[in-house]
Amino acid sequence: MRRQRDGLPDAGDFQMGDGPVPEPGDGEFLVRTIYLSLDPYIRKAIRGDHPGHAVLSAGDVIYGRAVARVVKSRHADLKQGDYMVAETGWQSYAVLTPKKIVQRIDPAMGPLSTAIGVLGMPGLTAWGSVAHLAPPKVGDTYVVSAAAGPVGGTVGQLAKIAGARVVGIAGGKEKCDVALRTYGFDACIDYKKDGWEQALQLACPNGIDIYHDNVGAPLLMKLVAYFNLYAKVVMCGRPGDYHSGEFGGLSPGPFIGKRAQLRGLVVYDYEKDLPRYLRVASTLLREGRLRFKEDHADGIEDTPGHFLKLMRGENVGKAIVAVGPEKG
Amino acid sequence: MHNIQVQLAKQPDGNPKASDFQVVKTDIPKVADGQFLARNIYLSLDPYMRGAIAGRHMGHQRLNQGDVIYGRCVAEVMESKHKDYKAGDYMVLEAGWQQFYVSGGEAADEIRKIDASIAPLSANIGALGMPGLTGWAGVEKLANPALGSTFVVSAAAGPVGGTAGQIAKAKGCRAVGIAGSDEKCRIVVNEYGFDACVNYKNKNWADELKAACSNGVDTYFDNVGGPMLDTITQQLNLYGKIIMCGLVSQYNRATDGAFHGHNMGPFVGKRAQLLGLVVYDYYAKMNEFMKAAVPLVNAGKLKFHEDRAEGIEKAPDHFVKLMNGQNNGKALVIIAPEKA
Repeated sequence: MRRQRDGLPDAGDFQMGDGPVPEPGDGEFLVRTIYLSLDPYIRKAIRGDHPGHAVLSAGDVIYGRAVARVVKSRHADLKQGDYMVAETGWQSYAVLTPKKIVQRIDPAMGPLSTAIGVLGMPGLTAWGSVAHLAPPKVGDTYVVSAAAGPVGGTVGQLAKIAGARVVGIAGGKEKCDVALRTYGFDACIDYKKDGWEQALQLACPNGIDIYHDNVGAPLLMKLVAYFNLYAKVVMCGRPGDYHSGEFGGLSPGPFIGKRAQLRGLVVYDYEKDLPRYLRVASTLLREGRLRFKEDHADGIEDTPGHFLKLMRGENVGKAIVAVGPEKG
Repeated sequence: MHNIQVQLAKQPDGNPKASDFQVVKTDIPKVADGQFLARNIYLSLDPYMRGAIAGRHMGHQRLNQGDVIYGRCVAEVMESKHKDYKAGDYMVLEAGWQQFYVSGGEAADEIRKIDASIAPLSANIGALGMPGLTGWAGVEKLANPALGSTFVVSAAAGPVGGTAGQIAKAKGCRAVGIAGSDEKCRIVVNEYGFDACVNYKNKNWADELKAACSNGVDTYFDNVGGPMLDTITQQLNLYGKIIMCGLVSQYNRATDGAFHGHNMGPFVGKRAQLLGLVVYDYYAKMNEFMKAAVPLVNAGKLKFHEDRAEGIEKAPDHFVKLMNGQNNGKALVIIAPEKA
């Protein structure tokens, strides 16, 4: 962290630091970062605006999760070579305690990088939505926003596997291409194009039965017009990403008229179900029925630039920084 | 004899005023074959009418100057040339703000025959009518609150909120009302038997609510919308339910005024369930509702409080009072005596 400012972050808000690789103490372990996950919530976390994150000062390491491997362990439960997703921050090595572990990784499940994507929290989020909160019926029309991202992409693919007609909403042709070609959605609407609402209406001739919301109220308030009665909404944007100051907010009137059912989703509630999800998803992955799209940068020093790209919405797929090799 | 009716003089801007209405004397229509003439006894006044007049409520066309105002009445058939109705039948129907109404029995008139022996006639537009059905449906069909859970309802002195809270209480919930005056809270606690009621016009009402809901809020039956919903969401337990039923705080907004927008973050954080309720979906369950509600009424566990005005020409003033939140309980207008 170099400085705190209002508005969109720029490259000058970050600085590179360099120091010796630290030594783990008793009960600690040293990990090497392999794939660093970049997510929109980090912007709020830096400012202390996200649950569980204190505001950062100049010189602090930026918050972030990564696929990491244990280099040296002084903790009984962890041994050298173990893979995990952990709160490492934006750095190539980190000394951690088990509290910082998000999830242990079995490398046999799938490509390592998917542990921060389709086989990680984003995938589990999708599972919580499609398998638990609002399971679609065969033939339902299922709409998902941020459709090219790891949550939206997995949501749509799971809904499609469950028999729904899946329509994505994304910003830009490139993202829509990912939703259509990589993920196999039935349709994808580019909300940045004029006439997108008519295109959505055409893509949903039977109305919308379920909407998985990753982006918040302004889009939701437009989509409600196309809801069927008793349509379901999964509210899934991270709380920190929603801001009534920036957006108009939700007004209940149209939802009452549609007898809509809105449910809030927080992925932590489904952590116990992760093993089951991983069994299902890794099988689908191997069979090629579940796909993912990653947007890689190479090297820790490219992290700020890649993060700014994500903040501008220019990433296509899961934003990842490849920090170190998988092996070794 | 004439038919006195209340018509729209001009579309209200913001809070309605008595001058937005006009009282007009017309002829009583003749009854043709297949029709009947009803004399209206009680006119129900409800907040949804504000939106209906403006064409903002589902199923209601925006009214023009000279149109009779929408409204449901308890009525008695005076004369009938319709095979399904005979003189002396009591019913609730969409007759508008007037003394007499001729109906062909069409679906749009939403006729529901009532048994005058079950309960006071006026209850059929209150706790045993559409408002009561709304409260019951929200509790029994949507929220289904658990035994021992805390159930909060706004506009608690009104017939929807009052019935919702009393049904929740009958199911073993702790019922906490929110209302806009000490007098309303007195009705809610002393007459309806809620466990507590908070006057939201008190500066510290949110703290008072917290004290009244020491285990947090499990269900919030929302009749008012607006900033109150945001405050209560903060006190909602994880997985709490919000029944979205009414938006009375928003109905008076000017034609182009914006609705209050809610930040969605807290709903996500609480894993809240927001469920939209429209009473029309439950008309077919009226008998099921009556089976539950009538014994409660007879046992003194479902009470109602009425705020009556007398004379059809008083309807505009009484409606203005309702829309300013100055009524206590179910607002109705006595148009004629029960016995002709």
